[in-house]
Amino acid sequence: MPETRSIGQPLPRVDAMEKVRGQAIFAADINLPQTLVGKLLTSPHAHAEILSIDTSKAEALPGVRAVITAADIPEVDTYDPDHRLHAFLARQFVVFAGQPVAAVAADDLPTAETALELIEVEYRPLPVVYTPQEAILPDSPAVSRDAYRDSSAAADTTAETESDVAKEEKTPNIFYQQVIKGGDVDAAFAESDVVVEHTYTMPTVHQGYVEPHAVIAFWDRADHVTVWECVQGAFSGRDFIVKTLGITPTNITLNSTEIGGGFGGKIDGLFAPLAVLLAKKASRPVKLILTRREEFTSANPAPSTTIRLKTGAKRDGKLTALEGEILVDVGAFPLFLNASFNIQWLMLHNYKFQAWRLEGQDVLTNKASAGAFRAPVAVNAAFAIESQLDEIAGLLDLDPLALRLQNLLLQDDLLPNKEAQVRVGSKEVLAALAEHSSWTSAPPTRLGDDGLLRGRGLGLGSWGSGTQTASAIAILEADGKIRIVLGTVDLTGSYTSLAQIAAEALGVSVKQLVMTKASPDHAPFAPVSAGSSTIYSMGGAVKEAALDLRSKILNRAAQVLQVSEVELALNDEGVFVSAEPEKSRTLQALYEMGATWFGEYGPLIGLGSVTQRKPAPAFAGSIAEVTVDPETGQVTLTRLVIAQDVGKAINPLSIEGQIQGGAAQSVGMALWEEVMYDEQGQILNPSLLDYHMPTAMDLPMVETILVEAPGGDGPYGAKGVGEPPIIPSVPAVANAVSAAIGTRTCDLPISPERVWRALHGKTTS
Amino acid sequence: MNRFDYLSPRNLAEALQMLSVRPEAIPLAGGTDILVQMKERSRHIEALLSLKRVPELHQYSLNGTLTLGSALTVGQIAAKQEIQRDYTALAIGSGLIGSVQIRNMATLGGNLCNAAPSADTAPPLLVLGAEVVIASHQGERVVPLETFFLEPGRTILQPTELVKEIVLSKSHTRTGSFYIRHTPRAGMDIAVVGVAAAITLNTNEIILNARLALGAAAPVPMRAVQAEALLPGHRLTDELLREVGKTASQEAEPIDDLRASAEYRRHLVNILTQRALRGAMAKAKSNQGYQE
Amino acid sequence: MEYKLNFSVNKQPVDLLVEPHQTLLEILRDNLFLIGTKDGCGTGDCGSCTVLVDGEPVCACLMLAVEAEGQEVTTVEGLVTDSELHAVQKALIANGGVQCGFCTPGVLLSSVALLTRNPQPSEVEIREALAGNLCRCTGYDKIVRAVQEATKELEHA
Repeated sequence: MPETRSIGQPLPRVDAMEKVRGQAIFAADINLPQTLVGKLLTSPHAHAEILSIDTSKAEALPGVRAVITAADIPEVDTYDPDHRLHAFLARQFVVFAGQPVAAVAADDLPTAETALELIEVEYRPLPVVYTPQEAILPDSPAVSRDAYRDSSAAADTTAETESDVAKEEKTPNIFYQQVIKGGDVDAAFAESDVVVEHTYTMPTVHQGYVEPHAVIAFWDRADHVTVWECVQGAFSGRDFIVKTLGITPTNITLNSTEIGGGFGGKIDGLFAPLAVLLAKKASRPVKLILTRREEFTSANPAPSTTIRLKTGAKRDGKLTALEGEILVDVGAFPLFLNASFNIQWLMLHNYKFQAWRLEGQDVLTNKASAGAFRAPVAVNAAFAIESQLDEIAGLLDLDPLALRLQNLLLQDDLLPNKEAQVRVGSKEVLAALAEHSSWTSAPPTRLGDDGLLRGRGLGLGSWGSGTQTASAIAILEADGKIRIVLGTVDLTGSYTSLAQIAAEALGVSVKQLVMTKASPDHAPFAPVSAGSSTIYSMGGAVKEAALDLRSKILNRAAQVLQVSEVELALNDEGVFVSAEPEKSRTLQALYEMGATWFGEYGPLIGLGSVTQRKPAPAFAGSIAEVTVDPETGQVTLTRLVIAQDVGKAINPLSIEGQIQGGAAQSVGMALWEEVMYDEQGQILNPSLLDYHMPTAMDLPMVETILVEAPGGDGPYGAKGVGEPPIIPSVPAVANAVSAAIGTRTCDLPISPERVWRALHGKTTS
Repeated sequence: MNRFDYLSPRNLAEALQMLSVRPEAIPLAGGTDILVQMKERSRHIEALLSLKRVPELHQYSLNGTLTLGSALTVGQIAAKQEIQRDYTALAIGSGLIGSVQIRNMATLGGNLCNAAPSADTAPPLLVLGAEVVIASHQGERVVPLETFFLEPGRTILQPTELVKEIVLSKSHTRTGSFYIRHTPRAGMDIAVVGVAAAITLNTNEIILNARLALGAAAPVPMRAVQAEALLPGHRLTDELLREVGKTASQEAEPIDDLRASAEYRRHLVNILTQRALRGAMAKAKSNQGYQE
Repeated sequence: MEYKLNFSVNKQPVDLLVEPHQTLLEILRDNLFLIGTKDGCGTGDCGSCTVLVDGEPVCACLMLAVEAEGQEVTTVEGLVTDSELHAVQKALIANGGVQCGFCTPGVLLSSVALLTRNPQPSEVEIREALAGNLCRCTGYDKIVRAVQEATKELEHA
């Protein structure tokens, strides 16, 4: 292999030039002739039966080109009433406020909006199931007429599963429940010198991507539709249309555009079938862009959780037992993963316990159906367990970082499913924080001369890696450059890192690489950009394609130069004989040999097709310092440090940025962010004014430490980077606030009012 | 947004004439509230009367009294050095609204006429003794700001009337004012509670005159008259501050809403009243104002 | 009813017919195809639609196009002069201040306006100037650093 030249370079993004010039094309920027404006009519009720929909007045309005309701959805074998993706238009029942019941396409926005007002829907309101606590009661009304249920309760802890959890009492609103247990919990608590127990709540939060969902659909042939969409995966987006509308994949061209943030909220697209149906009915292109209000009411925010957790430890800090109940409110449809199981798993993944028993339930309510948000529910898990470790350290007067180090579940330690843990970097992450000035300095004086309380807190979190299949093509181009054709969506700067991987594998510089994003029409399969899997999996495919091309180039040059391959070297100029550099062929010349009449050789292309299966869990740790105004409860984050094991930093600049963004989201969840519902399931704050994401004024600089620990089989040692940084700052901030105020706040967000109540011993209003 | 008629008068007389003919027309100043309501179709509007080209509403004069045209943006007001110095509370309040972008659009008149209980210019103007000059095709009337607000979203303005300008009396020597609000987020937020204070001292630092006003603490921005009454004739001691804060919190009539509970708001009124008074005091000590 | 609108966009005179309900943002994007200005919320809360009107940043989503009569509008497309990037554009690229790129045009215009009126802003002043531009990708760190770096470059220029 050539020496490392591209890996580890902090290169600017390959697409930065277009983006600073405003030339990057996002979905809403696509303009086709005669495009109509699509708009949604959404349900004002959180739960109701649709008795009738009369669209005649809307259809009669001049300028209205199509109105669709559930009646326009073709019958498909793949229809699944229990799946959120099939609920893009309500059929007979609406199960959350904001669920689309009809959609229109019109010449312009005022006409489309007026048409919505002319659609007459007769609803029969049904009881609204508002809280998960209420939803699990045996006599709770059903969230939906269709009973969602978990038939198998499948998990890899079969041996330890209690399958007898009062099944007969289950309401249809519980669609998944599972107990994970191991060891003798009662005995372990009995042996403990200290036991802490609290209930931790985390509200619904929103991914908060700044670009709303946008999709344009155009039936350019009788049986073929072209779609432009901001979606995290072109293949996943296409598959969604296939499954919901029964169109065969090759009759859909799905162009994934630039995407203005996704964070799990744009995995499938959610609204593409509406645009496709409208475009079909109107025989014109239709552009459907969500309003910000609809992003809150009608998309897929993250689930809220209530976690009662009890942790025991010995006097020396050794953890003994973990016991608790996890209740996840996923809204109106089952989540794509079993959230409570994920929480159970993440809680038992980082530290060793003698015994554990965690009961988990995923519960439906009449609220916006939840989706993924960056390390789904890992934050919820970390908030609870990391708060408890901090509290235990305090009670035992131990250093909270040392306490964590002491209990880490490391390589070869057994996981709850009895499998050995793989190589992880949690120790290295904690070690990096332990050396950092924010930790080596004395903790801040609790009460400063300025009357402010001060505290410092620590948090750790992990995410299992995204192991997916992936493929890519490397092509030697006419100008001697290497074109990488790939179907993946660049969510986070991945194209730049993938170019670095390809350059490294080929032995050329990054400027020789041309990254070509292609739709599924032109690219082999690429996984959805989610779950920290893109560099891990696509990177593997790109590396393999590049190596394949390199090998073919060298093989060809050996033939042409009449030498053996081992005598050859490859650089930006071409291939040459190491001992006689004048004996060479440019890459351009090698291309031309494969692109000529009666040529002796075929064109040079490399293929990569991989499955990255070896897990590489990645850890991130955070230290936060806060001040608290004891009179108002106002928390100000004054310092934020985050260290993360990235395996190998392919592009430190882009990784740092990604980590800092994740940390900012984490701080937002800790201090401000909450989608608020009333008892009728209506969102009270569906705007970016009232849903408080951090602004530039709310955050300090984010001190970022990249840790490189071995593990996994990612390209050049890379691990997934996207998810971990959102996890540890929530507990770090919570622990810092707790250190400052001398008491625990167990409800997120840690709002000024909550802090004030905690400080003054007031109960929640 | 629905379609509407757009009326674009070129002077005040024309604006008032248009309004007398089309009383259903809603004045459009910065648009930062009305356009949001129209876009969300929470408000159906037949006609908008643009104030952008009405020069009389953009006037600014400091000639003993301070006259602020209602269509001045809050960004313009916050940036005026003489307002920062002599009408500090107003500069602070204007400078806290929304973001830079919003402050470049939102107007003083709009902030008042929108009649949000949390309007950040209202408590400052109340303590600065603002008078509102209201014009219609039939003439002008002048009312103290205290009587301007009726309930959330509603003022005493008749459909044919416009706020022409806000008039503030001369700033006296040893007078200072201050505004402070509480928001969870440091940037881009709405006041959970805002308190303005204005104080005039004698040469011995005894309070001659004091005013307090509360935002987001009642259905409309309000003066805390009982709390104010405790101040004249005294020095601003810690004990007095506590008493004034407590009295103000008792005078407040806050509600529970998504931003805070009434109980917490009452507490904030207490704390912020004390802080606003300290701020006003510091200003009054340093402020020589305009010589009589 | 349509109104004749005369104004200037990126130093070019523009006249066209607009309906009163059309916002400046809609006109820029849909009529003039200046798609660099983004629509993130439509209610003035995210700053993606930030443009300069007579040099001052405003939310184009809350300004009726008819109200721009006679004014000078600058969009992200107008920041490049003689194919040379503005110092803030260069600094954003070099410092990794661009991620998804959706907030970037608004961030650029807010930053350029800041540096025009205050060539030596402190970190706090930079953060205040950007408070109306929500970014969900970067945590603002690299954006703020980029503006700081651009400040230095402009100082030397």
